[in-house]
Amino acid sequence: MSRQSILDKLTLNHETQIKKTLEDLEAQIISDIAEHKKLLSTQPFSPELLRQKTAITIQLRNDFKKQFQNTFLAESDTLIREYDQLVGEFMKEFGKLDIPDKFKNLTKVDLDTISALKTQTFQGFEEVANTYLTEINTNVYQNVIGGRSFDDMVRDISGKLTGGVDAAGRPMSSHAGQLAHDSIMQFDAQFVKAKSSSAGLTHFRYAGTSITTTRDFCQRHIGQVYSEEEIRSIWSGSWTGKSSGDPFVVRGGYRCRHTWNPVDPDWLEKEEKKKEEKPIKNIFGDVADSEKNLLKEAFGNKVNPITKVISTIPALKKFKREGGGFYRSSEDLLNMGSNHADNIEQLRTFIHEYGHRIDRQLGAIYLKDKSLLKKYGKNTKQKIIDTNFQSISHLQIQSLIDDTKILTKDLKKRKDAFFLENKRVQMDAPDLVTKRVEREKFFKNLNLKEKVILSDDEIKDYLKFNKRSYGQEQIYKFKLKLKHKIFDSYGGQYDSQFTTAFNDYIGSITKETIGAGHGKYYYNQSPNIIKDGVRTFTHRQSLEAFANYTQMTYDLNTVTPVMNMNVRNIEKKLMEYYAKNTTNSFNNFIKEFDKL
Amino acid sequence: MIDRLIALSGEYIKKYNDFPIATRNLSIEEQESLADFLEIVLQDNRQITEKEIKQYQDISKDIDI
Repeated sequence: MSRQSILDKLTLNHETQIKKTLEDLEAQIISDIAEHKKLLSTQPFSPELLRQKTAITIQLRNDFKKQFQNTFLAESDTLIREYDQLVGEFMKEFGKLDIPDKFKNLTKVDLDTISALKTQTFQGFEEVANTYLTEINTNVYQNVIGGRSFDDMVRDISGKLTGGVDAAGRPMSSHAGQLAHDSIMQFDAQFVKAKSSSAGLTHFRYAGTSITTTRDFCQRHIGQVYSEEEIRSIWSGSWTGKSSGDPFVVRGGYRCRHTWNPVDPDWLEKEEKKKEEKPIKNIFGDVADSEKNLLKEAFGNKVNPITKVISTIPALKKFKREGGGFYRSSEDLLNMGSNHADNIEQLRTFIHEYGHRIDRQLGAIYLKDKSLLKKYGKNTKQKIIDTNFQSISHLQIQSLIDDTKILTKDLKKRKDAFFLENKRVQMDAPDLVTKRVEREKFFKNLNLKEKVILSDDEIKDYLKFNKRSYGQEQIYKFKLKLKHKIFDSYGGQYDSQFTTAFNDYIGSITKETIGAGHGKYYYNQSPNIIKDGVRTFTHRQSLEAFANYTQMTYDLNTVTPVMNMNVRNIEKKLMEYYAKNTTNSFNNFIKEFDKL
Repeated sequence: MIDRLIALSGEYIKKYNDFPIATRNLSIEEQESLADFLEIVLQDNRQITEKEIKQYQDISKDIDI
């Protein structure tokens, strides 16, 4: 059984077990009180009766304490002992990694760490027990002295343990259930981190699966590999359900099911090389001679979702390399253009135009085989399907509408806030000419405080990639744009801190209310799909959105001659942040391609 | 994309709220030629005509740029 399976099994079992224990505890406490039912229910009030009742509440306190110890705390202790299963499995997996042998066994320090972590976990259960014990004691005393009925008292206690709410709005069973879950995950996380750091591993992959309640934040990072420094920077941001603490321990927040697994960037490189060394023949299916080599250059020589989908469409009929790039569907003609300045840029155009080709070709297949609807347009309204259908991206036009609403809502206010904030900072900043060093330091300090979806290093890389200045001041300005989710430009104009593909992606979604690339005129020379309020969404909008998505998702960052950086990852985050609906819809396309 | 075209098309958009020629995926020669043309249009203080748009790009409905 893998460590992940053990984690899944233990979190589920422990939560169930702790809830059952609390039901037993509740029954025993009520039974203790019931022994004194007659006296507790006696009225009217007299000094002698008060003395007797007080004596009983003191006796009950001792009884309750024993019950808590014998049930809840005894069970917690048993459950914590089961954490050893996790240690065992992790050590098995750790032993298979390419690390020196001396780190593959448990040392005395490891055993001390495990023991300390277990003690710390048990103390967490003790704290919860003490909190609820105090509340129950207080409640019983107040009820006895106040002369409330036995039934009322039982209802109050029952509410505290399994039914009612605590100060945070939860009964103890819910509180303890979450504690049982988080304790296992955090024990595992702390041990894994300690062991990995001792072996000198400084990079980690955020691992786990995605379910309906998975936080957007976790969703964005699943499968990604980061350095410890990057993790601390990314995790300093805020998101719904975040809990405070070390990112390696708290991960996505309360009840998070994800884990950090140690990796060494060298292993990843080796894996990547291994895959590349074994090219698979005909991964693109039947292709024309003109496109054969270009497809390999653009999309690689190993099987991936895009090679799979290309293998399902016919070979390209016509190919050109002159002027500006375009795809003409009526002739199945792809012109990758002639950009004499940079071969890589030319390949990017090829990927963009090939995105159009895939979109149109699948659209043509759909017109003959409606079963494709299940894959690419599960929830698409019939009215949309029936209006000028030409491509599969058409089926996701609602995502563009939803993103446009988000991006244009209060846009002026957000832009004003950006300008105001930027202006204020410029006025406070040390002089650009005479105090250059102090100015850089000033912006560096601001950057330490301002947290966005990208780390400062990622922003620096991205600005370099876009051939822009990448000092602390420019990084800060970029962060402010992300903070207010804007571009620093009028609609239709480029914001040069972003790539032209990203400008165009957002431009295509909002018909250039934000972003730039094709112009409103181009979009309006195209069949309408739907009208939403005053906005008309056209066929070319979804087509360009998909082509830009394809271009950025399969960006050639690893072969850029200027520099070698992971722009693909950065733009993935930007796409998901600025246009989560459209991006998720297209991510689902990629998942469907991968099933082919 | 060349900075001169970004700047000039930006200026045009500020005046007329749209730039009716797609600037994505143009060759360098086309970008430079378009920038030269835009300078003239902006100096003339006028909008680009439909005929001129067609000289710079094919806007047939089956074309995706």
